[in-house]
Amino acid sequence: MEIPHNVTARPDTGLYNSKIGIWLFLASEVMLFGGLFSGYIFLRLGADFPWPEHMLDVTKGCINTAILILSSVTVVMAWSSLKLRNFRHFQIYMSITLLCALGFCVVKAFEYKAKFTHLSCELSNGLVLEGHDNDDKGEGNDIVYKPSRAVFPIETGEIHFLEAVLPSNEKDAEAKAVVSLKVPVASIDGNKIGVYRGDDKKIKVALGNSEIEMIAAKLKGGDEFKIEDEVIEFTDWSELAKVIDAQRDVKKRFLRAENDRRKYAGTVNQATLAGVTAVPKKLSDSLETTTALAGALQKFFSEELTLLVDTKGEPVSIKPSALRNQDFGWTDKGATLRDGTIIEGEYLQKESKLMLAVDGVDLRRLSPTPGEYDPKIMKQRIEASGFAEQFPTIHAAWEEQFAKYEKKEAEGDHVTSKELYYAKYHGEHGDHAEGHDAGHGESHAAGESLERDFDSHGLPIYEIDRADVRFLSTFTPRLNTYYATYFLITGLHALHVIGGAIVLAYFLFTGRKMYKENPEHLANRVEVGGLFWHFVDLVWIFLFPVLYLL
Amino acid sequence: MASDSPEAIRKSIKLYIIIGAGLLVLTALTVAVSYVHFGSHSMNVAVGLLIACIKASLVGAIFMHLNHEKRLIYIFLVLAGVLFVALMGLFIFSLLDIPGQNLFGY
Repeated sequence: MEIPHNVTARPDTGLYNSKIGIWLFLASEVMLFGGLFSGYIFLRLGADFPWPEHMLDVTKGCINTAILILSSVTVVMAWSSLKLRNFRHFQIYMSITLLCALGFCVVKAFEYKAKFTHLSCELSNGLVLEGHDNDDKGEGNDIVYKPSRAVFPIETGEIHFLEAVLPSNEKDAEAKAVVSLKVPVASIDGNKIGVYRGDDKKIKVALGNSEIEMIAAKLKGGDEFKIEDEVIEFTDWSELAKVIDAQRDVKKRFLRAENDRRKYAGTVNQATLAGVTAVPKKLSDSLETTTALAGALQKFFSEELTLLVDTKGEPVSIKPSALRNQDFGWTDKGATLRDGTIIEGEYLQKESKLMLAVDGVDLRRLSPTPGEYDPKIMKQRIEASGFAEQFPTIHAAWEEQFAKYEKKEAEGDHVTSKELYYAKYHGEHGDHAEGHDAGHGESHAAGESLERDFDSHGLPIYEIDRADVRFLSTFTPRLNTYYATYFLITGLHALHVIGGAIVLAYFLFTGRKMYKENPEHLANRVEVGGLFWHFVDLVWIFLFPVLYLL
Repeated sequence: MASDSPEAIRKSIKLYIIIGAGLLVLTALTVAVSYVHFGSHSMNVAVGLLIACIKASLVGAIFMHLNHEKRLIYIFLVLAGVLFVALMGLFIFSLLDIPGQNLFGY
């Protein structure tokens, strides 16, 4: 079908239709980025940390700005070439534009990569160190426990954890760890619901006057397991597998009951479900039963059922990224992992040391009032923090920088807090013999040097006690609101670059046919695509100074 | 349209290159002035944003042809501009959350 006014202008607007379309779209894009910029201003004004200025790689930002400006010129030249009916030139200019888009994304990828591997480590005294995992020595920064046991929460119907727990050879006698299944046992009283142990030692769910055998159906009490108060101890893995099977059945029944309940009862909230005695009166008897069962089962499986595995005391290393929460997900008594597993045991402090190759330090967090850096107070605080003694190489680098800018300030020049209290260290190749000897492998008292070695870039490696770490993060959105907005806005912008490039590539690679049929139509398409491309450039024109420079 | 004639386009090609070079120069300028102190940090931000606005206007006027566009598109843009300014001011309402020092003084 021929769409009117693709080539010719509409008489009332004086424009061809897609041009109106793209401008309306761009107006909405202004709103999208406007909201994000507004959010940026809000977060910046309310920030309680020194806002990073000139912290990103300005060179990379400059390169990307230049790339986008160049591509803006070439895309408009591509359009001009079509207007002048020179298809060859159009192809050349459009290809350059696409190469620019690719170049932009490559530079961006390098920029992101650097952020993902760079660490910021805030110590409990306020000192912020920047650096890298010392992975070129093969030492990870794992948190190590001597576990007493591991707890695997069982979720209704989910059996994936079993593969992790069960030894591959079920018959292997060695592998028969003791597994405890904690089952809540409640007494039955009248019409209340409960889970209880019957006289025949079977676990049962009671429901009003009826009794539903649940796990009991599969757990044929007696020899394979023993029941002690509230804990069933399995010694046979295959029995456990049967329990899990039983769970899946129950899950099916639960879901069916839940569906029925919703279908007939409308909205009964979860609280009602959990407090099983308060079943709505509206429901018929049978429904009441179903609802009650559903509630009981839900409670039973979501809260009470856990699987305890006796791990024979072998040390367990946990990667920080595997923790549910890197800051609070672990204590000296145990850790909670992302998959819900809880490792209980003794935290091995010596094995869990953080080895950090440090390339920078930020002293501004030592200030008692954020944003104000009284030289006297700062001096006091820096001395008290043990910075000089614990991190001698980095301290020397900072001191040198500080002296330089202090002199500048004395001469009347304007000096920023970053120049005075934030220092980067680029490493020294060659002579660092004294560092090699410094307290290597010895235990140390507070105030002693933590310097252990130098990495291949000449950066000093410090051994940091995890107990002294207040916050550890890569330069990702979780570090602070600045990096959160940085990744959000530049990520969205990069998606626009990719999207725009796909459309322009489509014009380049499929345009020949249209050019032969109606060159003006292709020119209009390219103009519209180009308008979007210019807009993407325009956003970057603001992003670059706002995020990189100011 | 007169501006779409081949002669006019040939002329404007030169302009595109000049503007492109100008944008690069302005980028260098933005970077340079960001290391100069203008009395307060807010002034630095203002100068940086001013240069960005000049660059954006050049892109808009020349590359996006807004220097000779139809009325309807200007109407769209004015509307977008007004709403953009409103968006920039939205966070002021966060001040309402601070007891004792909000906009209305209670």
